[in-house]
Amino acid sequence: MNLSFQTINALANRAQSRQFTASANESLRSAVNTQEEVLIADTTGYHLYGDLHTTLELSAATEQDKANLFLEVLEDLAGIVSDFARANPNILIFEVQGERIHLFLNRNQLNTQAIAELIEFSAYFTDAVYETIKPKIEKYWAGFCMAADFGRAIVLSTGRDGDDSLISLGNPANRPAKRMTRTPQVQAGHLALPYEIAEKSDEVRNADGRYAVGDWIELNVKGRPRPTQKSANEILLESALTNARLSVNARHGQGRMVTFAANAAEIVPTSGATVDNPTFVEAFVIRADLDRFTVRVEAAFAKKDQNAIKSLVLEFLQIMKLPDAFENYMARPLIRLPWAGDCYNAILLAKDYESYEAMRDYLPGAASLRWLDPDGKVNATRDQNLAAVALANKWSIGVAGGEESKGRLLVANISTWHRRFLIVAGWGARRSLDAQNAKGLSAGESALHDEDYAELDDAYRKAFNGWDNGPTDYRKATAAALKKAEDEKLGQKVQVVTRTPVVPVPSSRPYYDKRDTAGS
Amino acid sequence: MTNGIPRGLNNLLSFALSLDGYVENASSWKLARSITTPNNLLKDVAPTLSFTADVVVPDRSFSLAFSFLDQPLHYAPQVKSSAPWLRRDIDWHVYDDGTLCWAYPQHYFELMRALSNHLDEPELLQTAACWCVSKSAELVQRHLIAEEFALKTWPQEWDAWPHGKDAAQAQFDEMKRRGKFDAEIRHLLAARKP
Repeated sequence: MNLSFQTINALANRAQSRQFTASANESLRSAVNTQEEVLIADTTGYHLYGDLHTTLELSAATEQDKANLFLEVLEDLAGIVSDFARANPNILIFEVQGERIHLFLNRNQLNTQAIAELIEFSAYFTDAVYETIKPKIEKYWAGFCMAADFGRAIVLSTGRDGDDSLISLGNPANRPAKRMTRTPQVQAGHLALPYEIAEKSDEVRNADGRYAVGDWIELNVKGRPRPTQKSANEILLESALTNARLSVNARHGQGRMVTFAANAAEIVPTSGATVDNPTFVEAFVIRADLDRFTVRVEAAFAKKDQNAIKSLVLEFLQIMKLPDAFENYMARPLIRLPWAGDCYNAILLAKDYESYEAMRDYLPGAASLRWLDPDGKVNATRDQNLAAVALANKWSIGVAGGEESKGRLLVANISTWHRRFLIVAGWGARRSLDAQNAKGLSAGESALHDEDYAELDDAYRKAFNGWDNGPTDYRKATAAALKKAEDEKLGQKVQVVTRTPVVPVPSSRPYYDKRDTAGS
Repeated sequence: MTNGIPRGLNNLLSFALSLDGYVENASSWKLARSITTPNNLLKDVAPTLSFTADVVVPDRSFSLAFSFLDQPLHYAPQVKSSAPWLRRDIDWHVYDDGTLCWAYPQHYFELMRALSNHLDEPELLQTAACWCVSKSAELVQRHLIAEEFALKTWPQEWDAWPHGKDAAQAQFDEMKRRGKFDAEIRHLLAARKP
């Protein structure tokens, strides 16, 4: 693996430069071993998140036309951000995660001017989303909001297939993402800023209609008065609106089809899945959030110790290999989604003989248990170094499938002007995120929604037995409770349903001998 | 002869009827003479009765194929499964062709013989049938649990005879020497009482 520290622009534009390099070196390609190259940037700037909210009727659509519409909307969102980023070299796209986008404003000073630039961009971007997406999905529209933070973060690009997202490690990338998931939600049409940042800006301090939610100040950025002279953002807004109209016209002629696979065996590879031809699955989404890594990054920054930062980066690259053992151990079809910061995401599919309904009995519990690995069974399959890394790190888990949605998820690659992002949409995608981000979920615990709890096997229901002072509709289980549930399940005897009364027989005790010496 | 039916055949039919009480959707019964060697061609070859049926456990049912000789109280019936989750592996007590090793043959033989001192033939047949169906089903169901929990080895919580005739016989002898086999018989008989 090659590691190299680069500018943040080099990471954000990686796919574009990779294509150029690849074509320039086509003749040398066969002679060179493909080696993973990880690009790293030590950045200071503004991390900006935008969240599109729609009703579950659309985001967990069970009908083809709604599923289509939802993906179109996500593509529109990516298209709008792509238009803005293409024309403004200081706006970089880090992640497109379906309804959520993560951008970076490449300004390394926390001052009034930069905050004004952030607010102006947020306002135009919000207006573009409202003007293009809201009319299209009026009935299902639930708002669009943003949150931002400023500071230093380490940004990684692994360049792996389907993982074109940039991974950011550090508080400024983590805090706004967490804020987006907390209640009360950021108001629609608003930008949330941490109090200490908001106070640096005269514009925010003097703004009408700003209000505080905890340590955050929310500012209405929708429909702000536009300057009489056209700004660069104004021109971009017009361009985004024009492009959105063009894409609507283009789509009408396409006769798009979402492929509804009947079972796991029919799932098409996600590399070919686009918004025009997405992969449809009935599955669970699991998200595993690394505990306290952001705190460690912040501590390394505070020490001003470049070596400490480098060793954390190296450790994180090792951490990114930990899911391999989990995935091998689970031995089931799985779609790995891009990391979201220090959070692993994957879609767990049904085995070829089982239905989604059958998975609901056990999978949220069994997958959580294997990830948390309290008995070390999964870790025993890792090499010594990785096993040590695994032992030193703890995770909290969110997992969701859904009752009404029947686990339906749409998986597609969404393209921005220079990179592709593998995204997942549906009830499970959203609820697993809410579960994993819920306040009060600790390391070594797994959370799930009541809808999924209701269908669990009794042994697991005991493990997910509640959540004192936790969010309504969610329950959590500790790793130890999950292990206890597994032990209980292994201890259960199978009762055959019969017409004739069952008579006492010896307990179960199978045997095996080679066929040529004895029968069984 | 029993009611005009040859004794061997009567045993087969009686046992098949007993099994039928513990399964659903049984197929037609197929009666065949076992394959024999040229040397034994003129000898009386035991017939085999086979059929498939569904076993119902809570939340699901699956098909099993039963096959047994004319002395079902001496020789444990052969049971095969084609469940897609089945691990056809020695450590999971299943042959490559899906035959389930649901009991140790010597244990089966001696237990049925010991019970025959206390139970009449219909009761014995019922015990053998119930044992065969419930423990075959339990083995198949345990394979499913193993798949669901992603178990890599047969768990210690699940009892099993050691692999191979010698090792199993040694343990069975030890079991008898320590009086555990007699205790098992007493326990089974006591549990039958209302």
